[in-house]
Amino acid sequence: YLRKTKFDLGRAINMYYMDENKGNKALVAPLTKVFESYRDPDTDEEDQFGIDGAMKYFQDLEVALDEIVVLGVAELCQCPAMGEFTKEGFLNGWKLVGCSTISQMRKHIQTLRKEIPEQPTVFRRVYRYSFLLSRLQGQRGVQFEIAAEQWRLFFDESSGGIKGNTETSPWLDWWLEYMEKRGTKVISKDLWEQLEVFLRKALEDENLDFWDADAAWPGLIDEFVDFVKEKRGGTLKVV
Amino acid sequence: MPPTMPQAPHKDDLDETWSFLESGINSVMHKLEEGVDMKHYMALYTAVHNFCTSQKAVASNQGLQAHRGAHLLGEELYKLLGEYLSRHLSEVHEKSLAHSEEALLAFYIREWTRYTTAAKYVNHLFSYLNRHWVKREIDEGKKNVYDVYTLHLVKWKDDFFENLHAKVMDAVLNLIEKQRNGETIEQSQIKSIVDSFVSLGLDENDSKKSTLEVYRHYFQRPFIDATRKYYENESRQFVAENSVVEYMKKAEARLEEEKARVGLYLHSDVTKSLTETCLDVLVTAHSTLLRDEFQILLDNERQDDLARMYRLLSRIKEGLDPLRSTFENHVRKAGLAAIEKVASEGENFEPKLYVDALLQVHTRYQNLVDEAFNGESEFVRSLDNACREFVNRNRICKSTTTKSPELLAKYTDSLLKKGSKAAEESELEEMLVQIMTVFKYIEDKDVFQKFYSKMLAKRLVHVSSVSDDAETSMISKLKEACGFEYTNKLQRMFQDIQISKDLNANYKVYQEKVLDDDDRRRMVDAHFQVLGTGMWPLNPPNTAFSAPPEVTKSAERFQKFYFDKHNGRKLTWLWQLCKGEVKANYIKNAKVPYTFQVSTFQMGILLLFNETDTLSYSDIQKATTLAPEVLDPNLAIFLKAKVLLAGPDGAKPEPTTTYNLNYNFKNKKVKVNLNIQIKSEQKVESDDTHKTIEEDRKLLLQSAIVRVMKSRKKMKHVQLVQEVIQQVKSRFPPKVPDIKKNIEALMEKDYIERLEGDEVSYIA
Repeated sequence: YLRKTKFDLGRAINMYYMDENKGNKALVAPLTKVFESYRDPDTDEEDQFGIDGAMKYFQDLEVALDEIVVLGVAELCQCPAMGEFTKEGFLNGWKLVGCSTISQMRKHIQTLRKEIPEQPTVFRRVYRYSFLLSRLQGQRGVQFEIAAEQWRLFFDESSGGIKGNTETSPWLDWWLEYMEKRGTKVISKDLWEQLEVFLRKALEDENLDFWDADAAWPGLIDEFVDFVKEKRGGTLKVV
Repeated sequence: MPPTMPQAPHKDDLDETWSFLESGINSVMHKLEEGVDMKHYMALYTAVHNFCTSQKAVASNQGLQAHRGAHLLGEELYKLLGEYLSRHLSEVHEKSLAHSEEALLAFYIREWTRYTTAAKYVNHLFSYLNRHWVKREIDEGKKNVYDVYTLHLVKWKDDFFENLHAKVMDAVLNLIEKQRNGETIEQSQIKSIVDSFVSLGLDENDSKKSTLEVYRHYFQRPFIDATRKYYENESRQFVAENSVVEYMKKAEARLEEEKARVGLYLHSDVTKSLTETCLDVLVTAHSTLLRDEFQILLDNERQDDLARMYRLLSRIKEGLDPLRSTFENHVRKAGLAAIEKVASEGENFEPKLYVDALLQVHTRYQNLVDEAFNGESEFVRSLDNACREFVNRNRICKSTTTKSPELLAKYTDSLLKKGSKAAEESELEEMLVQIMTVFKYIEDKDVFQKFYSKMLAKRLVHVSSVSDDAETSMISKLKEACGFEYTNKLQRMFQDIQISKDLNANYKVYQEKVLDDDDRRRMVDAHFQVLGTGMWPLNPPNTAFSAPPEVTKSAERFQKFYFDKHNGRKLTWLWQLCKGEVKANYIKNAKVPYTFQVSTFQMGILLLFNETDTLSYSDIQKATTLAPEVLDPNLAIFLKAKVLLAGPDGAKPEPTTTYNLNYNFKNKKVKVNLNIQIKSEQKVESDDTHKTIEEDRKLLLQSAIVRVMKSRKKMKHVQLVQEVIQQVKSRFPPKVPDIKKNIEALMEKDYIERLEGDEVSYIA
């Protein structure tokens, strides 16, 4: 492609995707068939299926509901809410990864299962998307109870996330304990996103040397650092 | 005059010429006081002239070679003169050995004077040589050839001075030491010696110019060394035996003395190094000792000694720096102690007490800075720092820094309110100026503004200002300190009151036209104030209230009048701020009917008793629709003043309790004020004010953040925080976590967003 466009990167990429889409056109028909098979024409609206279809769908994909990969699929298909699929998102998502059958999807999910804990960018994409899914109708933030559930999934290796507690510092438990104590009801988008950034850094640098009171961390995270300090007996060093 | 005058020498004969000259010079050197007659003088002069010119004449016959001869012979004469001088000086030196100390000085000066005077004459005698031979030699760049006068000096220096200077200096230094020890000495001797030393400073390259080298080397250096040693010893000893205060006096006197010494008999060139040496030895060497004394002097308020210390230490490099922090600490402690004393009086002290305590400390140390520290700007700054510290952080405002501005505002109110001990106008102005002094130090200026505007509102509404002039003066002072924005609302409040006055006048005219006779009989004499909602820190009443019909009628009439004038405006009746007077005609034993000054709420209650003498609690509540929080305390006031009597006696305000009109009411005054503010109300009001301050601060911070972000579009988080602090600092000192919180709040509202790398950007 590069040669064809005389090394114009932008045009090369465009051409690549145009070709790609041509090939994927073939996927539209089988994917639509899969999509329709989960749509209940009695209850679901045109071009989307709801929670019942979703349950069945995940069952067929051999995905447990308390696995992060569920959110991975939701992100791929750009689900507007938990357990809701639109035809457009469904087709675009799977077309992008070139899958058209349940078994192909299962295979892709296998990769995704591996990628989420291993690749920080994938993890972050799924994590951030899950904020949108976790909001209640008409709210800007996420209820603390729901957020806590999600954190427990994302920061736990057994559900396909990353490690949230270490031998020296139970970061996730501390965070939840701190939030509980503080009684914060609603988690803002900013806090949701910055917490993931913070925890990643904290896991790498358990002494929190990266943290700086003058930096832009949300106030709640600053206060959390004080809380951690207290837990460690007045110091930020691992004890 | 020499008895026999030798014959003029033959002009070609060197020896003859010289011996003739020598005897002449000798007489000039030794017997000048006897005078030299003109003839002899001329003869000598001519001999020199003849000697030189004759050679020239001969030389012109013999061409080039002779030209050289003139040189040689001129040189001979020059050399011989030099040798003669050396001889003379070694004689003088011999003689000097017989003298020492002061006698030596006298000898030196005598010889010096004689020698230099003679030198001037000899110089004249040899002026022909000077003009020709010497000039040529110098022009040709020969070293060590000088005009004849200078030759004298050079010889003096080389042959006499070099051998004697140490002894002379010893004598000089001994003399000075004597003077330092308090003896009287012959100062002119030293002066002469100094002059002599200075004269010996010859410029190697240009004999016309003199340098101070000789003087510096042979006089100044030993003198400074001796001075240093002398004062080292003296100060060490003095300090050991005397107090620091005494020492400072001594040191100051010594410094003065040395300065005077320069003027008396030293060369002014020495001033700088002498002063430096003295300061070094007398002040710098003991600066730690002095500084240690500083605290003690402060504690004892020894203003003169502090001034002395300031003068001494201000003269050495960085001498005052350690004092500044000590001073700052001291003032802060004094301030805290003063407040501690106020606080120990208990919870409910007068705001005046607090402000006075602050002012007292400030005034005391302001004076000290002015008097003792010369009003030096760095000390002023230390004072300001200390005051800011104890004004904003002390025991009374331990929990919150907003207590200081609140108390200050209350104090201001007490001054500007009618009924306080009416101060003279000038006195009041003075006090307002003092208030501004404290105000300057207040960090939470917004708190002061809030409380001030609340109280101003009350003064205006209740027409209880002591004078409009004082109010205006205070506002203009605040405006000067904080700018237009700070006082904008206060000024608008003033305007509203003014407009209301005109309005009432117009209303009176209007009323005349519309009232009928019946109305006139029942009319209530009323004054109305229309106040802009946005400007006044007033809230609508917190209780329902059915005004008595008499009042309602007037109110409605005014409302109609107002709406006719200003269509589309909304009027809210602030009943809780209204007041009135009712006349009690029912009371027995009253020659003159009592007048009760009451709030509208109270009026509402009392007027009910026009119909009946006894009412139950629930009746009253139903009729007035007042909330119990308002009704109960007001009833309590009536009971306390015995306007009403409760039945059964002492009953709590319950629906069944009845209230009877007291026909036997008695009071010393004819006018009885029942419109007393209730304690709990005051507390609530203060709490409310604090709450609105919190809200306002949030808004102020957020608007500052948006303002900064709007102009910068994108910036580092840290910078943003700094900018915001800068912007709001003049109103209150913001806390960083609060700024952060508001940044996050704005993120929530999508005004700004977080970027990678601690950056924030503005969303248009």
